[in-house]
Amino acid sequence: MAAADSPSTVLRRRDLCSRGIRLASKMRVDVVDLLDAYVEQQGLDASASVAAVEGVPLAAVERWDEQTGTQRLLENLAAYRTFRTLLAQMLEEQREQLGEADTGLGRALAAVLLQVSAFAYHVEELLRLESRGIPGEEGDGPPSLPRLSLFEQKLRGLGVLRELAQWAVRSVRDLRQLAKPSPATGTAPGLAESP
Amino acid sequence: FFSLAAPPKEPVLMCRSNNYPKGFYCSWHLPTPTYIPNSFNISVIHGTKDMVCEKDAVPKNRCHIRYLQLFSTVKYKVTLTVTNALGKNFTTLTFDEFAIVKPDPPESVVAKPVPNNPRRLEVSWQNPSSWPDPESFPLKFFLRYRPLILDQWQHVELSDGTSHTITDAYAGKEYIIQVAAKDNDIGTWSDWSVAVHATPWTEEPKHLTTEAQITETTSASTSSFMAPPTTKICDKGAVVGSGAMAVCWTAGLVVAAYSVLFI
Repeated sequence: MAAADSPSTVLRRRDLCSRGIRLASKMRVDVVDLLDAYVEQQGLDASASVAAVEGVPLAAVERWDEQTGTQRLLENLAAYRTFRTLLAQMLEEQREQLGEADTGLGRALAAVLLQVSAFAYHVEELLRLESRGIPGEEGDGPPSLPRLSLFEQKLRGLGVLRELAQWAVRSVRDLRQLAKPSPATGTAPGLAESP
Repeated sequence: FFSLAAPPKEPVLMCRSNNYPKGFYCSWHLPTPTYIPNSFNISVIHGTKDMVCEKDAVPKNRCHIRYLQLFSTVKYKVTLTVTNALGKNFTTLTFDEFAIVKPDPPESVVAKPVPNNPRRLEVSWQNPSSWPDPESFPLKFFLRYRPLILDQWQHVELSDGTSHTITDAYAGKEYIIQVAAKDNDIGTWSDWSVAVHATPWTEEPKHLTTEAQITETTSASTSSFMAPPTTKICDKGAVVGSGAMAVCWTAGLVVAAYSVLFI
């Protein structure tokens, strides 16, 4: 069983978690707005089902309540690093389609990309607090894909934004779990090493 | 009797999660009776996976499903087929995990006057008992209140806590109060809770003596909306709406009248 965390660690974790929750909540609102704008501007059907796109981190998880804190943080970090790459790709494709024109959609994409980067960094801070090594970034990006047609790019973009919106909700829930103190050890639940 | 018997019309189907993240339930009924026995069959598909909806013992027209996955973008497709001796019919619902989340209303709503505060009512409530983990999945609340004599509701949205103090109640007026709940992040608002009634604290009437009669006669002409001596008379927050200035003037005149009496 892990020793109880120091009071300063507990406070710092709670602070990081509550700031992270605010970040993720704001990110979700902006992603949902971006999704609406994207669907409209790309001429897509909002209700269209998009098959899971290769390389897009799926928010769906089984036995979510049984995950340890470390698992939560590592999965969040991997996901947001990948989203950072995917959104940068989308931004590039957007610029290719429309030239250098500063579009509202482009600005919204850039703003969400910034929030995704910020959240990834925030998760790294939480991992550092738990004295966990930060995994390297190799292998976190999507596999290199063949050049997609314009329509395929649009569908992939739809899939990316939908999953990102789900991830934002999942991240809020994950951070709330992390912020809960464990009654026995004072450590956040699941952050202690399993025996 | 047999001329009344009919094949089933398209059934009415509803699915809802009032115990997120545990699962959801679906319930159904026929819009018009068939007058002969009907059997119902429900199928739930999530992506390519068939899921079993376990029928509830009570009520009979309901079944529940445990979530195997959370945060999925893949929609659920629920198909209900109703069959009887004269025919069959069906309906299909498609929805995503977040859209059907709707808590039950808050429970144990209590509203109490606050001693020595004629404009306040203290309201408290509890999370619905069906909501399994309010710590990890906190609810936010919407409170509405109005005096019985008015039709317009006041609304307050509260992002945490299960209590609120109303500070702008009309003195001496009975209020009706209700609360609704929603998951902090997803889904829709619950139905309104059972209504509770409460009247703010009022000063106890004095026993009628000669002096008291004089006091009562002097203050009889003041409006029942006037702020009492314990409240800041010209505090905008303590006085409601466009009557604020009139109340300040009235209070000033009363004070002036008393001052003249005691010179």
